[in-house]
Amino acid sequence: MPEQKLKNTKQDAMWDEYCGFLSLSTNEYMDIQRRLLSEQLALYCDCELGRRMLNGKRPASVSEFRSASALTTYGDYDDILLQHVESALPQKPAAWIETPWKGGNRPVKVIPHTQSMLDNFSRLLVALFLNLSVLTNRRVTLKQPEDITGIAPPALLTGLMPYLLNEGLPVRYTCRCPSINGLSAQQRSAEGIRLGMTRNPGVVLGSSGALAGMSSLFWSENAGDSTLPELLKTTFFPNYRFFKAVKKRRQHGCAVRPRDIWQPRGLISMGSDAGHLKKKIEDVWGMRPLELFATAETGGIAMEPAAGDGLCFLPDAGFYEFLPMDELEKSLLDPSYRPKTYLMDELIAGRSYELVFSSFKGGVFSRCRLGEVFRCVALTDEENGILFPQFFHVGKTPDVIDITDYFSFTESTINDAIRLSNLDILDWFAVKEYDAHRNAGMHLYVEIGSQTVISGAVTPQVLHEHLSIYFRYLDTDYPQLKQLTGCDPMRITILPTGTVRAYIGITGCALRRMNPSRHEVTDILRMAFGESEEAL
Amino acid sequence: MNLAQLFYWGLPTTALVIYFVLLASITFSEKTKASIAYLPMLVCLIAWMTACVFTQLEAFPGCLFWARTQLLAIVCTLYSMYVFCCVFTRLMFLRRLLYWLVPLAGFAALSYTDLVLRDVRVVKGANPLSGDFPPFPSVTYDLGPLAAPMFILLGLFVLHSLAVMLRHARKNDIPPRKVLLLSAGLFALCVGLLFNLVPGAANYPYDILSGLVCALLYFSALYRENASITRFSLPRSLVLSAFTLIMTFAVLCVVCLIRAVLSAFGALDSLIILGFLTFLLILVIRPVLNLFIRFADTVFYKNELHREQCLSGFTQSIANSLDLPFINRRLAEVISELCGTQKVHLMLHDEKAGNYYTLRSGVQLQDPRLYLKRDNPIIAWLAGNPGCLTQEELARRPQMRALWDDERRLISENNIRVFVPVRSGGRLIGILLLSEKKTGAEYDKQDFELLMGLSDAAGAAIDNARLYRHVQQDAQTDGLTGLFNHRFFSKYLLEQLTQPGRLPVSAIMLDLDNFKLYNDLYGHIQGDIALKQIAEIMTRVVGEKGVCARYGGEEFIVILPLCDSNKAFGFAEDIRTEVRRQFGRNDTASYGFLTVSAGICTYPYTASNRDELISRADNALYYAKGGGKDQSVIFTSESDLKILKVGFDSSPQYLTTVYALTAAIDAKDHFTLGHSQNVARYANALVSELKLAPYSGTVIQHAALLHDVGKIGIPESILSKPGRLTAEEYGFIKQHVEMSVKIAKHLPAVDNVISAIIGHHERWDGKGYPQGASGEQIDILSRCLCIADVFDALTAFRPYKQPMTQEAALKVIEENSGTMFDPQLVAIFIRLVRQGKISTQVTPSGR
Repeated sequence: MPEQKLKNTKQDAMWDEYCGFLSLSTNEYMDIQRRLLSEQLALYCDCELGRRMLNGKRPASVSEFRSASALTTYGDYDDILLQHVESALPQKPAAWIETPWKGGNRPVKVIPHTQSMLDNFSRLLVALFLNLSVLTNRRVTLKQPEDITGIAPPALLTGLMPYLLNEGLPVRYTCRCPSINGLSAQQRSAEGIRLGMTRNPGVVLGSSGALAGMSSLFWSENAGDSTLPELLKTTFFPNYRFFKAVKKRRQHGCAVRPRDIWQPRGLISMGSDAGHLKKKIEDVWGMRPLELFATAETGGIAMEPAAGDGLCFLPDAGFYEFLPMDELEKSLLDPSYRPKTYLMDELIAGRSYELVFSSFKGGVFSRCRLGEVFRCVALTDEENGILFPQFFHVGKTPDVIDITDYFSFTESTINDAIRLSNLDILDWFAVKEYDAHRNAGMHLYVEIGSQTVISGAVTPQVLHEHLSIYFRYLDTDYPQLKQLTGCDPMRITILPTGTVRAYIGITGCALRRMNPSRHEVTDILRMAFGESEEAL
Repeated sequence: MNLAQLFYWGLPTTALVIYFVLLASITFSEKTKASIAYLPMLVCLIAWMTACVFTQLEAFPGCLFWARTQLLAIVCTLYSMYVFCCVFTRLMFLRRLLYWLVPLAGFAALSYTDLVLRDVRVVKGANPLSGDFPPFPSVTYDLGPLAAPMFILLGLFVLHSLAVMLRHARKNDIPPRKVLLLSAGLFALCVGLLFNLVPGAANYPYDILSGLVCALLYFSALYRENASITRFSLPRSLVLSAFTLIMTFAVLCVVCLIRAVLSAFGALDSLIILGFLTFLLILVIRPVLNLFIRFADTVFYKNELHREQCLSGFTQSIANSLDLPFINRRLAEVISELCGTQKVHLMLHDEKAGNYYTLRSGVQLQDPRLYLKRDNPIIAWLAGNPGCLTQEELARRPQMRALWDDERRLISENNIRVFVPVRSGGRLIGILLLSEKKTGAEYDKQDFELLMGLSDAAGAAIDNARLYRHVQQDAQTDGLTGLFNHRFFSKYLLEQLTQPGRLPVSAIMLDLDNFKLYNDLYGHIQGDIALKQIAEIMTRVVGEKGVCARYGGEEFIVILPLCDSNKAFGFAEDIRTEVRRQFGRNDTASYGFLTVSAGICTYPYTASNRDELISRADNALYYAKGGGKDQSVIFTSESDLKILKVGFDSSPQYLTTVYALTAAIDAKDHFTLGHSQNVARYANALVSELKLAPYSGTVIQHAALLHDVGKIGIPESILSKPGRLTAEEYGFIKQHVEMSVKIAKHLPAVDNVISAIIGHHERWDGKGYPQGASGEQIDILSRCLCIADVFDALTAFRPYKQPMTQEAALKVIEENSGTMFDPQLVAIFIRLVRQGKISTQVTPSGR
């Protein structure tokens, strides 16, 4: 009865209930973490999965737990989770959430969530709406039932969110599309826009990439005035609001932006690059978004408060450990290396860490590496009364180059594309880069065989065309990336043959193929092209 | 005055009095939003009724004015009722009020024009004594053209209000009980208004009656929501002063009456009569005054008085009590009576575990799972904050996010609404857990004040009772094991044997096997820990069926009322097997030593009195020990002790076994052939020289023969390896000591060799294995064995070395004196060798 609860509860009581955790001190925060970990361990030690992950031990403290369990990844759980073996889990799940497993053994991975975990996520969403209400000077009102329309089915995290929100707030959810599994990324976005055109959305929740790149769905920046909006050609039906925006655009000579069409009361962004794209989203939507960090593995675990400038992790959504970047790099170079992790009260402001997540409330993960990197922006924010660390979501770990939430380049996908293309590429490395508009892309540095250089037609454009074909073949979302982000997701630079080998010979260190450090890239380019400013 | 007149004039008077009483109770009580919203409605009703009466009385400035005011009051009453409903239910939207405000305000303003009411005529009532009808004024209204639309609008407004309430009730947004009262009030008011339209009936004040009914129904709804509205905050002295004034007025009236009566009879001047009447008056005034005071207290201060009486009674009853269950019961009773709580649980701090456990109460059923762990955030909050903690605060306070799901579920299942701290000397000694009220109402501020007062009063009493209980427990329990002591056991046994309906009573006498050896080997601290563990096992197995006591040393006794020999045997076996399981589960040599033997006797079947019961259980225990230990024996008769269970073969063919084992190890490792015999010879000579206890020679002989028997479990490839051993292989070799002990402890007749075997690789400086014992911590026989073992190893052939000469070996031993070996023993050993009392015999030997 969320409506009744809202009526009967005062605003400050609601704030305390859902957002009160923001006023916890670091010690109180850690007390909650430790206590809920002991609850989880009591459940975990008695199930098959827990016995496996803890090597049959029964840790009684945080330190014992950290020494008993090695760091894990989803692959360590897949035999049980993909088969939905509920008897092996610590608690009976209330929902199985699926998500694409890019670079994994199967197309999708599934994760069980217990009722308590879903309740926690629900509370996080209400907390986010309360903060949105504060941020928008109560334009986002909590007392009136909100109509929510979405296209994602409940099996996906985004599809589940309206139902969870309904646990705490009066919302009416209509799922317009029974399944979006068959739709491409562009089709999904278009479907979302189509829904948005039928009614003015109150609160918009979307992946940061989609929110930031929505302008390009309306209008290709490279296209001339006479060109019809790209989206109009395929999936979009004309609308008064849209034509009004186009007219305005012609008057001012600028691209149509979502703010020209819609005036939502609040904006929530999530997913890859949400931190990087915040400014851009603010520009195209005309308002500051609040960031939510949620993954299928963890559920919702962090949110950005209205007063504050960083993500705050919920103390009761999971046990957090943080792996510093130098340890992360060591473990990438040597998979057998057992990296050190640090707890929330041991972090250093300004440093980046990979999140290591252990589930609470009967969840399945024990010290699981999610591949998400956060920078600790501050240990406390006394001005806003937040006394525990806040974070900036940097993105994925260096072994993955993610472009929005729809596509990721990994070493294996790039190798596959090169292999399939039959191009004579001797060596390569790839770096994630952002353009002037804060759009993410992959910069691929390749070395071509000397014979091919002499006899074949090898230009970056040719290589780009070739590789694009095979990336398209490997992932159907790849063709829409340009449309979604508004820029080309791949840039290629050809290095003189033997540059990488020569660099390795000089330094004596192995070069990581995915996202080598900026210094290494600069040194290699200096070796390859001299001090040419353009090359650097 | 007839009934009709009484109704006509009495009703407005009564209504006026009731309205003012309601107004007073709302004005002087604790304010809530709903009670504030009730006030305008009450004022409108008073205005309505006043206007109605003044119309009939044709008061100044005229009946038309009062009739129009009456119309205005009706509109305002209906509107204020709707406002009250909105505030009271918290679900009806105030925004809608604005939509209705415009037309209603318009009509209200028009009611002072001819458009709604043109004229009013009042026909005076007939003389009541003449019996004409009606005996009071009747009013005739001349309505204007807008009167009908106005009444239609009011009708629609009422229907809308009813519809909104019913819709919310159907959606379960508002409890049906609330809606029922509100709808009934509205309905009653409408019926009263409609009666005004019925010719004839309009002469009677049905609208005033319906207004009164409505006001009472709404007040009732308000009272159910918040009972504190009837609690006046007027000082008692003020109320009593008011009553004194009334009394004075009454006495004056009586005096006047008496005076009138006396003057009528002409007895006004009679001093006797006057004096008599004055005396009577004085006699009557005092009781009447007391009656008035009691009445005032009952009407205005009933709850407060009741609370005070209960509190005072409670404080007195627990002040001198040291009975914890009694205090608990009284506390539950008084809370239940004053707050209307369904269930009260008292949790007390357990100083050992730090947790808070529910004190058992015979009055109500309690959830055994209901306890709070010491790290529970509720405890931290209550310890650090002065007030109570409510269920709502559990959701609001971020620290409470640390609550486990099970804890939340338990609180929810037990309907716990309030946690009240119980303190004594600033320490949180307990927590009161209150379930919901019988009425379903929420706890209010006054309840919290009362609960804190009660907990403060109870805190010291509970603490004293706890201390008394601890002292009592200390006097009858054993400090180490926590079991009852000998004194309590004697008293308890006597009670059981003499009390009717407790027979048969069985006694199990238990004794730990090898406990002295265990103490010698692992120290007294480990021995104490073992005793505690065994006491826990006994308590767990026996539970509520009987009483466990420490009889003395390592002897325990269990008294089992209503239990025959077979059942007692079952308990004894459960204890024995559990001890065996717990102390035998580890692979190291330090476990598996401790077993228990038990002797059982049952009164009245095999014993005729208390002393016989104990001595015969003891006899059975001796029989069990003598029969090989680790078994339970039931006493049947002096001559026939029936052994029901024997742990293993107790045949004393141990010497054969020792030699067989020695031969086995010789067969396994050819290089150790004869080593054990040599070591036995050397060690025996050394021990003989030391003049130890007479049996030491035999013990060292057996220990030396068995000291390497554990090598049976070492792979032959390691034992016979010609080269240097790896660390892993050396680890294997080191295990032979523990394996030797494991084998030796299965030979009950030679279990005294274990302490010698286990220490034969220990070093004087503490760097040996398996325990790293040093100096005189190592058994003297082990120290002798160690020297003998090394001496033979040095002078014997090894796959990786040639045998040393006797002198060279002695030199090595001398060099290691004080580090590896006991220096005193080394000196004696060297002397013995040099004197020829120990002579070497070169044998191929092992590691």
